[in-house]
Amino acid sequence: MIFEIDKSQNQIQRTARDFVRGEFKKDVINELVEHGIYPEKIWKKAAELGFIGIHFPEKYSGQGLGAFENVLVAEELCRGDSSVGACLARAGHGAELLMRFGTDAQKEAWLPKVAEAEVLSCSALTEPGLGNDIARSQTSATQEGDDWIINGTKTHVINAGPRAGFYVVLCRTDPGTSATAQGLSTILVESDREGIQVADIGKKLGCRLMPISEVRLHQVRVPTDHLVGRENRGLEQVLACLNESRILSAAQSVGMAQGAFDRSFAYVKQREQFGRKIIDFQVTRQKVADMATKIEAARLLTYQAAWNFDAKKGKSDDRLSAMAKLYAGRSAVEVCDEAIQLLGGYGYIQEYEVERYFRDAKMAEIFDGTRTTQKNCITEGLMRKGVR
Amino acid sequence: MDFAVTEEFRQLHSRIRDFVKNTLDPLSLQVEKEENIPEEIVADIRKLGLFGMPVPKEYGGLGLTTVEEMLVYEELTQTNACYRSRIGTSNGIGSMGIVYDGTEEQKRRYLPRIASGEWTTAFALTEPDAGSDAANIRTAAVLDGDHWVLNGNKVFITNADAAQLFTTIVLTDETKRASGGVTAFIVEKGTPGFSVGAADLKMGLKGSHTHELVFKDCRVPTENVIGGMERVGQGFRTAMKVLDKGRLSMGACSLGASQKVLQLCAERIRRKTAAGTPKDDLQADQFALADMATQIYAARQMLYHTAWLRDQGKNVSQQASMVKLFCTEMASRIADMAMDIFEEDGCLTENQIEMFLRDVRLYRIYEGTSEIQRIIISRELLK
Repeated sequence: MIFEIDKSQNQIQRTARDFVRGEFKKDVINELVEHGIYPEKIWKKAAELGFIGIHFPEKYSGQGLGAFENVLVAEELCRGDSSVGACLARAGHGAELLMRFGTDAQKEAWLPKVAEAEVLSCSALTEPGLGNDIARSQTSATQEGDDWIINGTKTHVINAGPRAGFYVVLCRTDPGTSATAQGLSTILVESDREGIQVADIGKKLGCRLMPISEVRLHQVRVPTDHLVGRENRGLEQVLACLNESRILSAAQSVGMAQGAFDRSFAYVKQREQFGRKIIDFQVTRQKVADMATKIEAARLLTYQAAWNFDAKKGKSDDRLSAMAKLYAGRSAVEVCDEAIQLLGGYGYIQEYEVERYFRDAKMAEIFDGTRTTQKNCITEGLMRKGVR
Repeated sequence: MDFAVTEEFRQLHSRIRDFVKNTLDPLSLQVEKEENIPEEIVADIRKLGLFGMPVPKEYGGLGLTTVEEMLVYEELTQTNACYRSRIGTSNGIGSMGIVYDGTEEQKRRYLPRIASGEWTTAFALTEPDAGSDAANIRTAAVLDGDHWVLNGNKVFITNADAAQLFTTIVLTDETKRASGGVTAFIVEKGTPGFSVGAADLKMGLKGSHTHELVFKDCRVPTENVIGGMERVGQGFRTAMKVLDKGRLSMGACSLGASQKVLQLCAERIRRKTAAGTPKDDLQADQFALADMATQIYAARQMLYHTAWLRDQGKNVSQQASMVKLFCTEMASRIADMAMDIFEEDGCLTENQIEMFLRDVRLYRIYEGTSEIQRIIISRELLK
């Protein structure tokens, strides 16, 4: 076992760090945060450097790299800024569905556009009131001649809105299977199709630069060749992709935790109370040690999950991704919460950023499956495959 | 032990419960969005007499006992936390210095206006370099004839924009500091040399505003020393007494918020069941709910027991710290658990859970962080 990233991975990590240093200007980000504006320019620049869709094949404008490289980049970007980082890490959210199950035509049409930051990619899975229980999706797709007619409402759709190029929509294609895992399919719907309405779902806890909306589909018509993968196997495909996006989510959490740690560690080293630096109090030192330990453990588990994903190709261990998301997600929330506490009153003030890291970290923990869902996955995996 | 309350209070309590349910809570999201409590709501609060809860009846207040006051806070916090902040900061830390240590003349002059809600009060202690280390304040006053001249800055002062009166804790003897060198002043809005800075942009409690205060050769008459000139140098003790009770209030606020979150979670689980989620998929949620309720039950006992002890005239300094520590940490834990039960929907302000998560986070920081409470508690234990 070699606990070291290789030369080219090191290069990618350094490029990402340089990019953060050069492009993540505090005043620019403050402006975006204050008004909840998408980091358009940074997104485009990130794409120029190849950070978006780094794991897409080269012929689709990607770099042909793996989940591991994607993790390294997401970690650095989220460390640099939790909100901007989340936008960039999620710019290709759901594109994995096309990459892994789509037809060549679907991939050719959309993957390059995502990687080149021409459009954002979206997967539309859950529905109002469903939460993580997407197996009970009710949005329907019925075949009429050469078309699918789609009706229903999807919510919490990341990247929905004016920059979205397409939605991969989880639809019930076998009406005989209402409220079960069978009979669901994924269908590609271009965002400019008639009958799509994107509705604001109001203010959110965090990730406020990232559009997350409700998408209503009314009699939306797409050709039958827009089916992604196999008919009635949609849920299986989505779960396979969630496996990968959970690793990415874990990487975001690791980065956010590290970023909050950086800020609070710098603070306690310079802030004086009771006649000495806060870092000189034993309790502060214990807190700092706990935070650093959690981050390191979360990082290792996340790297392991990513490595496993790349090494085992399609047969990766989904228990590991769920564990990485569970542990890194929780660690980030705890570390960011402690970072706020270390800053005291200033921790509660937006300018000091750690409260935003906390809010963004909490979003990362909730999206792509809550703790409860990850634990369900882990135990299902253990029952199916046994203990390692 | 007897937590029984009077019939008179029971009626007030039920009026407040209705007021929260019918008036305050329906506007909760509007307050969150506009980051402000509508003026007509403040007028309603005045009519209920809520600005004078701990002010003795002889000065126009309700003269509530500590137990009664905590019961009110518990009700008032089962909605947007800003309402309580608007009321409680004035009732609690803003005016208590005068109630405890003010001269008879000061009490007669200020308390009736405070109790009627005509005047809002604020408490100014924290400074950029004096957060947890409150004795490290720099804002200083020098005597000049029949005035004290104040210079310095205070930060994070709640209700500074609405307040007419600031209980201000100032250094009057650099060499003595907390032991005889700190004095509590009444500073009225409009005093020359006194100004209120811009509002802070905070994580939560959006409808409750905190500001910086600036004192620049601010001349305060000697009669505005709380307790009169003979209490010059006794201000740190006044401040600590004020905070003692504030800590119990923080316990009550955490309890109220947690109770509301519990109720929202129970409704959510019922809705999931009704929508067809199999019971087997809800066991984790059910257990979380049980844990929340158990912690709330424990918090309620310790809060009211301590409040009752205080009403018996006991020194509850250590217990008040325990109440603040346990209840505020609990409120954060419960809001965090609630996020799992609500899944993505919990992230939407509209569903309130994320608002509670952000708002209760402050309770672990202000009026003494959790770490400061642990210092107080352990110091008592090791005496």
